[in-house]
Amino acid sequence: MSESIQDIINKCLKGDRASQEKLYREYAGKMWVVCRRYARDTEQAKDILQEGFVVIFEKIHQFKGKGSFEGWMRRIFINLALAEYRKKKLFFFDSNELPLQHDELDDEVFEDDDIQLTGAELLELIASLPTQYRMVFNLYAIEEMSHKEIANMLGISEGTSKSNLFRAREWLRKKIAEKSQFKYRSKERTLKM
Amino acid sequence: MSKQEQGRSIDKLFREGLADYSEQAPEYLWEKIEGRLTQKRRDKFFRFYTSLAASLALIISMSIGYYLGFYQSKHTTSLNLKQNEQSMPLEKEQTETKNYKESAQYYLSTISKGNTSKSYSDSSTKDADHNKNLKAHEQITASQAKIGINNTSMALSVMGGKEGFCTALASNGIRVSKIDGNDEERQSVRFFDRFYIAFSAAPIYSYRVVDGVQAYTLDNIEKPAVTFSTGLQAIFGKQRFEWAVGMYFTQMAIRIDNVMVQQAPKSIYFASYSKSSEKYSSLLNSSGNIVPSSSSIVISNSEAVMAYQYPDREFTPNGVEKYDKVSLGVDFSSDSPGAIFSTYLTQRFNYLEIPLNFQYNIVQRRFILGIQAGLNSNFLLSNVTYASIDGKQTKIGKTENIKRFNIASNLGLSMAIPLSSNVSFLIEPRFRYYLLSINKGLSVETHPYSYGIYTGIRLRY
Repeated sequence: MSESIQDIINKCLKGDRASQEKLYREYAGKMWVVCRRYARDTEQAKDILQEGFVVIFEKIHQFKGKGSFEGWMRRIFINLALAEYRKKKLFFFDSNELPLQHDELDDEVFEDDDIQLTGAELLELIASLPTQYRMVFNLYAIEEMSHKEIANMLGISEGTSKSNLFRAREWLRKKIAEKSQFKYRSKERTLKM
Repeated sequence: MSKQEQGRSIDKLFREGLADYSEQAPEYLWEKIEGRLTQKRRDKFFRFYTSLAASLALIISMSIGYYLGFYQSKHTTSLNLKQNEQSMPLEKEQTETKNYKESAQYYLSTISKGNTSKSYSDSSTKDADHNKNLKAHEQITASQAKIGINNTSMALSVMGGKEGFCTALASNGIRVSKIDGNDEERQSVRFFDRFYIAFSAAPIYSYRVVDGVQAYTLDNIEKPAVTFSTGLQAIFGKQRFEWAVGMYFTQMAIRIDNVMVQQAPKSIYFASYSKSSEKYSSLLNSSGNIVPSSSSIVISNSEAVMAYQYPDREFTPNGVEKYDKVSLGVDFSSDSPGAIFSTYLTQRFNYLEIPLNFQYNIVQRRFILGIQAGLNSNFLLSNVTYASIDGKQTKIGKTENIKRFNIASNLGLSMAIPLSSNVSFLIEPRFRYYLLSINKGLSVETHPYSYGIYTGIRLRY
């Protein structure tokens, strides 16, 4: 019979290397996806995953058993990814400088009934988002944080967070449309030729 | 469907689709994590044993100091007394005791006047006058004159039997500085017999040793740099041994060739933003990731380096992927792509060093030649990377993950050429090697080292 997670954690608390490896094998796959979602590329995701597990094994005594262990781990990876983002806050453009093109979105109707995208495809789509859009979308849509919390974490205004989310969704919608695996129809625009 | 609902449905699609999704994590990552954990454990042990060794060294030094300064002086006094007692003929004992009392009283009176130095010659003369006919007593007074306060101690102990008081007096550092004669006896009461302050400075040649699979490639793009080091040392000497503690400011540096630096226009619009774009904004080398201080600066390796890091891709000579020209966010065909410089970088790490050095003098006449060895505690003060642009060193960023504390070993020679009775000119070729890797979290181990010839002045007090 395989060991319970709690048993593995208890052994990790004593610094048992074999148990640390078991814990890693158990969660590496899921946490890798978390890192990929936030990182700018796979190299950075590897760095975050590596750093994250080192932090987890060093700070595992701080896990008091409140909430799930997986949630606690996930939080560490997200915090590390955000720290990396804050350090390398390069080349993001302030969306306030860019006019939002609402009319483009108005012309599109998105229906999710028949969308069948695999986890790998969804991950690839998120990873393709520009950095700040990716951060905001991950925190809002997947971690279910409020704009106020996101604004505090990223050092931006709530308005910027909202507009980044809006743009991220727009971006994703277009990418999904390109994949042509869902119903996507555009209203006929009356363009002046 | 309203816009809000559409947004929520997108969110839901991703949230639910990725909720339990997992992928195979990259291979060999566990080995890296395990390596990091082992290294951290080693560092922890190293810190523990270093602290232990430092504490032991301190305790041993203090014990030696105590032994030489207190214990030995006490026993030297008693021993001398016994010897003197034995050497004196019994029939003369009464006269001797009287003379001791006289000389001791004289010493006490001169000490209380703060004229201790003078007292020796005076007292010696006085003793000589009073005891010309007593050979044994002459020997004793001569000995008293040589060993300073011990004479007084002995005289006091003979006079009043207050040996405890005498030794306390001796251990409290009352000591006569101008004493001619037998130095060895004088040295026996202090753990050092000479003290210097030295100031020295040197241009140093700084580089690093890299241990890891990428060492060969890194050796091809990185070069040594010339920097400087300067500081002060307090030096304590006894016989042929010297030990020194000080404070130095030392800059370690690494030069990186074949680098492209670009001042990108601020109004960049990432028309074809892709995830590959950001990797050009920073540059990885043996000591860590160099990150620009401004988001408008791009640093990249040349084609050769990029080709090594990403062997499956093609690059132009300035390190940009051929099929992804706009990946930097800059349209190179436009009129204002921003200035691009093909240059080199210099990573400069400024350290405050606290050296603890030990020296053994092979030659100790007027000219001194000694071998030095010791340890430095290094505290990182700043970490700046410069690019050479238009011949000027321009600050462009810093290296990430540099350890704030390090320990270095020192090895060198020390030559002191006397300029006057108290001033010497110093020439000290010195090599230092960082015992801990400069970075944390990289797969390569990087140990900076430097060598240089320090020159300076040493003042004797």
